[in-house]
Amino acid sequence: MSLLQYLFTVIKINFLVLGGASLTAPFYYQYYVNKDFIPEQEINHYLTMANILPGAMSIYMTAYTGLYLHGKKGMYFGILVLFVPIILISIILFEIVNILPFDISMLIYISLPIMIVASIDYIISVFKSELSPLTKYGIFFLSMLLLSLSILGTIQIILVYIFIILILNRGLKHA
Amino acid sequence: MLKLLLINLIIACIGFGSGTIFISLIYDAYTTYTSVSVQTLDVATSISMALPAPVSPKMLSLIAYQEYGFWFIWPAVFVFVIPTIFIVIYTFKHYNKFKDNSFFKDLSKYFPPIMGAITAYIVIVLSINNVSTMIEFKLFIVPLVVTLLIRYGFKIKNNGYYLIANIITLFLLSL
Repeated sequence: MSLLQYLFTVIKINFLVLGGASLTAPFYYQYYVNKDFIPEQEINHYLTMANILPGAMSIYMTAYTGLYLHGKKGMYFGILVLFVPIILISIILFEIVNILPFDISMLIYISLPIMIVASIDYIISVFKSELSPLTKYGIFFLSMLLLSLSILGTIQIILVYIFIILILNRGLKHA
Repeated sequence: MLKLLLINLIIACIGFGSGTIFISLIYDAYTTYTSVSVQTLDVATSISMALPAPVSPKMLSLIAYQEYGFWFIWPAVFVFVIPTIFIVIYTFKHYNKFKDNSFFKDLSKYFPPIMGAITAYIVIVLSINNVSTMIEFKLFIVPLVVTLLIRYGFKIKNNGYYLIANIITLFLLSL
């Protein structure tokens, strides 16, 4: 994959997905794994690191894929392509909305259905993982329950799971 | 001005995952530690959510633009990206050391269902918050059916089609 192709792929992945970077996950498989540019295991690792390390997930994914394919040049150009156009577009949209008598809240009815469909796609891909059905459905529904009961926030849930995995790991090693 | 840059830097260092998690962090930090109004944050959120990923840099740049003008956007976004770039370079350099670590392997395995649950929860909450009246329900359900039909009826994966279809549907509904 040439640098130009890579930058175009960054635009394709990030500029077609609304509602958050976690919804871009299926596109990394579609554009990099299925076309044999990056192995599946690498993308899985990048996605994990992008989720657990502090910072925005889309920056991590663009930086890791850029570094893997073209080194630091790929990373810096990838991040520039990720940011500059979309920031300029949002400023232009902001100015247009200020001039026109347009209700800005209407925009949510364009993005919500796309977010829902992208989430369904993402969740289907999550359930295709190698974990046993009991484990993956258990983790999914327990997390949903904790979130909906507002017992824990998203960050706390992730931290709790990290600790559980850490303890299980230590326990298994000692056993 | 410096306070804003410092807040952006802290947000980049403590927030993680997708843009929807960052939105709540940005609201908390800006309303608690700065004089940025909720209206400014609402406008930035609406435009950021309506445009494609990534959400957090768009939101931060729109806040910076509304508060201090065009040229302040770039340092505001720069401080948000810099910590991530350092972490990416460091983790990529030492990637081989920890990719075979059993804890990291477990984390990669168990993390997708947690992220799936968080994504599903965020989308459900966003839908409920934005659809409270019958008019809103009509504005929401018709584009949703159109999107579902394109995605699963015609098996088209491209989000660009959903976006165009939803803009047309919303335009027809508002007539």
